[in-house]
Amino acid sequence: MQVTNYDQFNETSYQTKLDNGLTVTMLPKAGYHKTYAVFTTNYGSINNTFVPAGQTEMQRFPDGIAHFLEHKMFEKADHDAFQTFGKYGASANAFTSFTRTSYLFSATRNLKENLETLLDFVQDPYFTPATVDKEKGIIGQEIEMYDDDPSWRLYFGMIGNLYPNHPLQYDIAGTTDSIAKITADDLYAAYRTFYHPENMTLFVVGKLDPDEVLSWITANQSAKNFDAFQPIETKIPATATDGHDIIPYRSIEMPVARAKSVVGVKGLMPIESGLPALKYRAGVNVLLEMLFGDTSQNYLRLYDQGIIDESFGYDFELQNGFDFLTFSGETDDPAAFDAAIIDGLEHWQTAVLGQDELLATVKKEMIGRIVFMANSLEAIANRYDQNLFGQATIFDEPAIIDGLRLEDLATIAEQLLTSQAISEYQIRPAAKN
Amino acid sequence: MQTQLAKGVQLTTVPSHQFKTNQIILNFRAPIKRADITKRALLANLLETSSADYPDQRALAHALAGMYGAAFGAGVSRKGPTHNLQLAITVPNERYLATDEPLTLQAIDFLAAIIFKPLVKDGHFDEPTFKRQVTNLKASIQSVDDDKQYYAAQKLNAALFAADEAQQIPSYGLAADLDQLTSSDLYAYYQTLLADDQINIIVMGDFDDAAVVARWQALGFKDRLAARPAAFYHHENAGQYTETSEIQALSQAKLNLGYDFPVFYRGQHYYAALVFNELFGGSPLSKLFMNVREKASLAYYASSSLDTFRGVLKVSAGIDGQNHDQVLQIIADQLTAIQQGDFTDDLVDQLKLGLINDFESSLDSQRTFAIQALIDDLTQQTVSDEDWLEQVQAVTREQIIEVSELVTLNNGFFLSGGQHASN
Repeated sequence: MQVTNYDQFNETSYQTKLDNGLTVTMLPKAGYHKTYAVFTTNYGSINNTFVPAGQTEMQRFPDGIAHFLEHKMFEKADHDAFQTFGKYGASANAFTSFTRTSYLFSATRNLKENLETLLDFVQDPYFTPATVDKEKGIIGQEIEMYDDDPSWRLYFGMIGNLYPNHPLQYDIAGTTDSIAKITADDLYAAYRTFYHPENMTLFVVGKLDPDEVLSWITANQSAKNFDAFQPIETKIPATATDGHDIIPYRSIEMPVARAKSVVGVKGLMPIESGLPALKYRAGVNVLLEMLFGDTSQNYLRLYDQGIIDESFGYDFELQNGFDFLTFSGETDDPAAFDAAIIDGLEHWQTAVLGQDELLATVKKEMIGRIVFMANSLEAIANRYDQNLFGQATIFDEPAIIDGLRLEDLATIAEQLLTSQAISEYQIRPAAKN
Repeated sequence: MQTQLAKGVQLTTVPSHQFKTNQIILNFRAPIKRADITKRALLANLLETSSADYPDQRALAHALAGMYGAAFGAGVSRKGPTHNLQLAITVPNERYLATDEPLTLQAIDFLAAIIFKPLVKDGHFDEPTFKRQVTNLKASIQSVDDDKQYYAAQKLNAALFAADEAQQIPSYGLAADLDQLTSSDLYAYYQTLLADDQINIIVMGDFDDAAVVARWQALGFKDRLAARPAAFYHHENAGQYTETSEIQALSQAKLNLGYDFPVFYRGQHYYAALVFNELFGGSPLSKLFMNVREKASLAYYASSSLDTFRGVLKVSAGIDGQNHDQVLQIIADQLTAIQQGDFTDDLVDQLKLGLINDFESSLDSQRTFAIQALIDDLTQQTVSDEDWLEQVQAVTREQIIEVSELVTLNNGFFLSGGQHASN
C-alpha cells in the first residue's frame, strides 16, 4: 500500500492496486460521521464505438448506452440494489459523464455491508429484454425533462458547434430513438468490455480505517473470477487541430423569458495526462479568473454596462482526450454579449501581461478554494480521476497553483485562445403563444 | 457557547476541529409582511455587491480573494411566518495556509463593514448601484419561471396559501414591486430592519472563542424592542381538492399536489411524520418512488416533502401529460395503502436507518450547525443528537398510520404541454 502524507493539510491517502487490476484509494477524515465510496469505470457517453470483449470487429452501439447501462445495473433478478443499500441505511446513486460512469453510496453505518453491496451489484450484471424495455420509459422521461431545460440545451448546443463530428455532441442519455434500439445483448457487450477491474477505480473517503477497509475489499474481490484483461479498443474520431470543423454560430428559439448566450472555445491541442494535465487545468482556471472572474477588469466593466449580470458564468471542461471553455449568461442582447466575451478573449494580453499583483490575489483565492473542497468528501472523491491525473488528489493542487507564473499563463493563452477555436450559440425567446 | 450581545441579538459559537474552514452566519429575522418581502430581497442583493468600503463588485471581490477566497453571500428565505435575510461568510482556517493572517477576525470585520457601512449618499442607496440591482433582481425573478419544476412548485404554493398573500409570494419577492421602490425608501426600510429585526449570529469552526466574542461585542448592537416573532404558521385546511392547470410549450408535464398536514417541528406526531414522509415519497424506498416511478414507469421523478413550519405536505411528479389521471390515482392509492397499514416492519426499520443516515451525514456539513442554531433560536428549544435518534427509533407502525390520517389533499397544479404525443 502506498501511503502519501499531506502535512500541510494533516491528511493521508492510501493507494494500492489489487491482483485483479482494481485501483483502490482510501482517505480517512478524522471527526467525520459519514463514509463516501465511489466505484468508477472509464466508460462514458463518447465510447459508443468499440470492439466488444472477446470479438475482433469494431461495432457501433446506440447513443446513450453507457447511461442506460448505469440505470440497469441497479436491477437484479430478485431485488434492486437501492433496496439493499436501504436495508443498510445508505444513500446510493450513480452518474454518467462523457468519459466515466460512477456508482456511489454514502453511509454513516454498516460500512462493510455497504461496500460489499457496491462491489457486488456493479460486478453482477443482470439484463433481460423485459427489464430493458421497461427502462426505456423512465429514461425517455429523463431525456424529455432535459429537452425542456434551456441551460442544458445551451450547453449541448455549444458542444455540437465545437464537436460536430464527435460523439461528444450527443446527449449523455441519448435520444428516445437511439435508446429504443438498445438490447440486453448490447448491455452485456458493453459491460464485458468496460467493467473489468483493470479499467476501474474505487475511492473511499471519510470515516474509515484503511487496513480494515482494504481487507474487506480484498476478500470480496479475491472471491470473484474475472477473465484476463484485454486492452480496450475504442474509436473516437479525431477533430481538426486547425478548428476548421467548428460551426461558428447557431441559434434556436425556446419559450424563455430572456435570451441566453454561450461563447465556446475548443482546446485544439492534445493534453498529456498526469501532472501536465493537472498543471494545465490549474493554469486555465487561473487564467479564466484573471480574464473574466469577479476580480477582473472585464467583469466590472461588462457588469456596469449591463452586458453581464449574476447569471454570467464560465466553465472549463477537461477530460481525457478533449477540453473546452464555455462562457454563458442571460442577456437582453446576445450579439453584444458574444462580442464582449470574444473581445476579452482576443485581447487576453491586457488582462494578463504585467499583472503580477492580480495573479498573486487570484492564486490566494484558488488555493483557498482547495481548502474549502477539503471539507467535502464528495469533492475529494469526485475530483480524483486516475485516467487523467494519475494518483493525484486535491491535496496535490495548492503547490501546483502556487508555482504558476505569468509566463505559464501566457503560454496557455497563446495556444488556447485562438480565433479559429471560438464559437457562439444563442437561445432566443420564442414569440409568446 | 451562547452570548447575548443585546436584547434580541444572539451570538452562538460552535467550536469544532472537524472542518478546515470557519463559517460566520448572520440572520436578520422578522415576521413576514407582504410589503417587505421584495425590499428584503433587494437589500440582500445590494449588501452582497457593495458597501462604502468596497464600492463596486471588483473591490469587494478583491477583498474576498485576499482573504484566501473567502466565500460571501446574502440571501433570503421563509420559515413559517418569518422572513430571514442572511449574510454568510466562510474563510479557510489559516493553519492550512502559508499565512498567519487572522482570517476569521478579518471576516467578522468584513461583515460589520457590509452591514453598518452600506454604499449610501444623502439618505439613499447609491443610485447607479441601486438601479443596477433593481434591473438584475427583476431579470432573475423573471427567469425563475424558465425552471418548470420550480415554477410548478411556486404555483402550488400560491394555491395552498390563497388566503394569505405574504405566504403566497416567493421569499425573493415580485418583479412588479420593484417599479415602485426608490433608493431612499429602501434605505429607510434598512434602518428599520437594523433596529427592529431579531439578529442571530453563528460562528462555527476552530478559533479563539474569547477573541471572536469580543470582536462581536465591540460592534455595539442595540436592544430590539419588537417582540420575538412566532415560530409557526398554521395552514388552513380547505377540506376538498381543487386543481388548477396551465398549458405551456414543454414536453414533460408537472403534477404538484399540496396537502394539509397539521404536524409541526418537534411537536406532537413530529417524528412519526418524518418516518411517514419517508414511506410516502421521501426516499427511494418510498411508495411513490416504487409505484409511480419504478413499477408503473409513469414518471421520471415523484417525491414528497414536509413543511413543518406551515403544516403542509407536498408531492411533485414529472410525468407524461396524458397520464395525469392515472398518476393522480396511483398517488392517492399510495396514501390509502399507508392508512390501511399496507407496509412491512422491515421497511419501517430501513426508512428509519435512512433518516438516521441523513441526520448523521448532515453533521459533516458546516452549514448544518448554522441552520440548526437558527431553528433552535426560532423555536426556543434544542434537542440533542442522542434524543433525536431515540425519538426516531421509537416511532411505531401504529403512529405512522395515525399520522397518515391527518393528511388531506387540498390543492393541485398541473402544468402540461397540452396535446401530447407519446411514443
